[in-house]
Amino acid sequence: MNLDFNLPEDVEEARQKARKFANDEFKEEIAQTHDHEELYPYELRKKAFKAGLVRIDNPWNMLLTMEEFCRVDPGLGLSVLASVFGSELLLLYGTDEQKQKYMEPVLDGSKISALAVTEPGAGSDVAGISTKLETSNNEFLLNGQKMFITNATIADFFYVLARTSPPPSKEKRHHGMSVAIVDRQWPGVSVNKLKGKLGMRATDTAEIKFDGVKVPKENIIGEIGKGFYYIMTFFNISRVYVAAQSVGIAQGALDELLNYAKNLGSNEESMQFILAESAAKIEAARLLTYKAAWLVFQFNPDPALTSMAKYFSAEVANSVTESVLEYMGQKGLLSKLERLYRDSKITEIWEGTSEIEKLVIARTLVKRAMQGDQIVK
Amino acid sequence: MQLLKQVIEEFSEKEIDPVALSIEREGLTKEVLNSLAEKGFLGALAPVEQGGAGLDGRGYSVLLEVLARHSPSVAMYVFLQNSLFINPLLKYGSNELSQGVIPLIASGKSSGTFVNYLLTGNEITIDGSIIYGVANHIPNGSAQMCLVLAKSASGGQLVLLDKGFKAVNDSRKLGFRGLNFSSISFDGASAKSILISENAEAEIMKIYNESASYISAIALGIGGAALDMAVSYAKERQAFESRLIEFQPIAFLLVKLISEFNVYERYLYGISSVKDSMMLKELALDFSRRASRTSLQVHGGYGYIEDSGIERFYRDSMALELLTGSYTRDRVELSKELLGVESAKY
Repeated sequence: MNLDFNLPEDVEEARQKARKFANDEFKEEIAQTHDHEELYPYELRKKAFKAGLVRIDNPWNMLLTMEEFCRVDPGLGLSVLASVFGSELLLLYGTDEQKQKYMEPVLDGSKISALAVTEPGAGSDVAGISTKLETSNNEFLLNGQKMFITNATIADFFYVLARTSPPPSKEKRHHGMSVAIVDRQWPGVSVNKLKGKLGMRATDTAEIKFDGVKVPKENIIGEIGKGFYYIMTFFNISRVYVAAQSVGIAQGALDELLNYAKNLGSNEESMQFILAESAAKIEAARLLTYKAAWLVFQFNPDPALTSMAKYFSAEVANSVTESVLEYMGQKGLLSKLERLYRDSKITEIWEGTSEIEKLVIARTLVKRAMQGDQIVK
Repeated sequence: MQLLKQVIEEFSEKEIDPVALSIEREGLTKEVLNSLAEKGFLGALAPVEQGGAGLDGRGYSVLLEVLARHSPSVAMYVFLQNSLFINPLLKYGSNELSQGVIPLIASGKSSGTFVNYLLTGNEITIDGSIIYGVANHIPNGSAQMCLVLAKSASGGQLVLLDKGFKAVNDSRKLGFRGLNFSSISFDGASAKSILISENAEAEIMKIYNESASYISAIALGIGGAALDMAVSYAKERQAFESRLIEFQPIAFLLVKLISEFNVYERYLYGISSVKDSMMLKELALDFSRRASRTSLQVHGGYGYIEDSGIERFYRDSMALELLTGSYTRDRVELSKELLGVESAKY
């Protein structure tokens, strides 16, 4: 029996360090300004890199940093940590040249990456994308449009999913897609920042247009035609991070309620029940998230478990922020709770909507049941 | 009533829809306020001879529900002017005072707001006729006139002020972004008139309880509009080579919410007591939030962006509850009504 719920010492240290950084740097006034004005926190991002807090080579540290950052302010926390977004694609499938040219400057904080999958006409249905990469002489021509892309106006380059060949059949819609690395400065690329988001307003979100963009062959990641599978593998990693965001957001709301209970003293059981239910949900979400991450970080992911963690934690983030804000009333309106309430909603949408997560869970489980396999790892 | 609904619908399409987004971004304009005043909506509950529309409770509910469908901010503004300003003036003010003040509100020449420490938790006190204290996050806080519930040894007083207080703009807004929110400081302001000199707290709770059906009307307007938009979008948007509406989880969620909406809406227009109103509010606010959340989810990323007009429903449905009530106080009141217990205090 080697079940051990203690985090290793170095990971616990990373958590403390992240917590201290967030408490010191994500001051309420700063968080409010970035939220209100929809400003990307360039300086905070630099500081976090300098403090060694953005480390995709150390995923546990990154996961707990995500949780602690979002606990204090999701918009600022996400902006800082998502600046390396998509890097795992190169880590897993990139050539040495690609890693050196694109990934390394991102990991040392000098460049910013973005992942461009969603399109105006295709969100949950990734295989429904229509952006095309067509062969032309010794290179590719990229045409199409991407939507709701995090970091798009500030990124140096994007990882773009596009069709390199039409689907061979209706059943094989997932075939024929590839991932290309595309510089934002290349001719034919244009970005348009989207303003007026509900939450996570410090993060940068934009649409991208590709109009006859020339992409050299060496910028294709991995094998031609396997892009969909690379993206799904990536989602298996990124969804665990969204689960951690959600746990952090919910914990941040609980912190507010605990503060209230501690300082004002209240024996109202309605408050105590909200507190107890929230705390229990958060702990369940956290354990599920850590278990899914534990498998992912050993290169042994269970997509069903990852989707459970992502779906459940997002639900918890939404329900906890809602019930705590509802209870706190006008006090909540004047605290960071109203921001947490707005910030929580996106966790049910990005990196796979809750609906998609439920489909992954159900389909995986039925398949395992049919094969007589263990239902969950 | 059908005719009234049609009139308000046409008014909203003409005067509100074209500027609904700019109302959210830049606030209610003079033009919108003037057009509301012209129709008598700013004085919906005021008698016709005072420049109002003299609507009864049902007519007023129709007004709020329809306005909320087009712009929750506009509905909230009308609610504040009528339920929380004109109504207490009519109820507790002298004829002279009402006749002096209400025409100013109904014509849009002046506007009013209500400061209630029972909701804000800010201590506002009265000594003689002098008011002290600061109230935070007051909707329409830049108004020229202010009704204030002030704490006193005699169970609170309700006073009217038309000068001597200072409003400072507050940029934090969860919902109703078309309204101005301000902190108001009263240090040393003297009351123009004292409307209730003792036990005002209990009277004010009555005002809120009586307003429950109107709050519900706004909630139903928000939830109903959010659902209509979700249905239209789900009928158009394709994923996995089918329309969203063809997928059971989406369709089943929508039919449940649409059923709720229809039951609540029918109930709203048959309300005959304060108890009825309070019961509806308990359900309608929750419905409104769930309908808005579902609509946003159906719209996906598009619902998340201000331009779509969906995310404001999500924010406003929550803000409606927080600005017009209090989680425990509302339920304690309902417990008194339904259970006959004096106070559910633990």
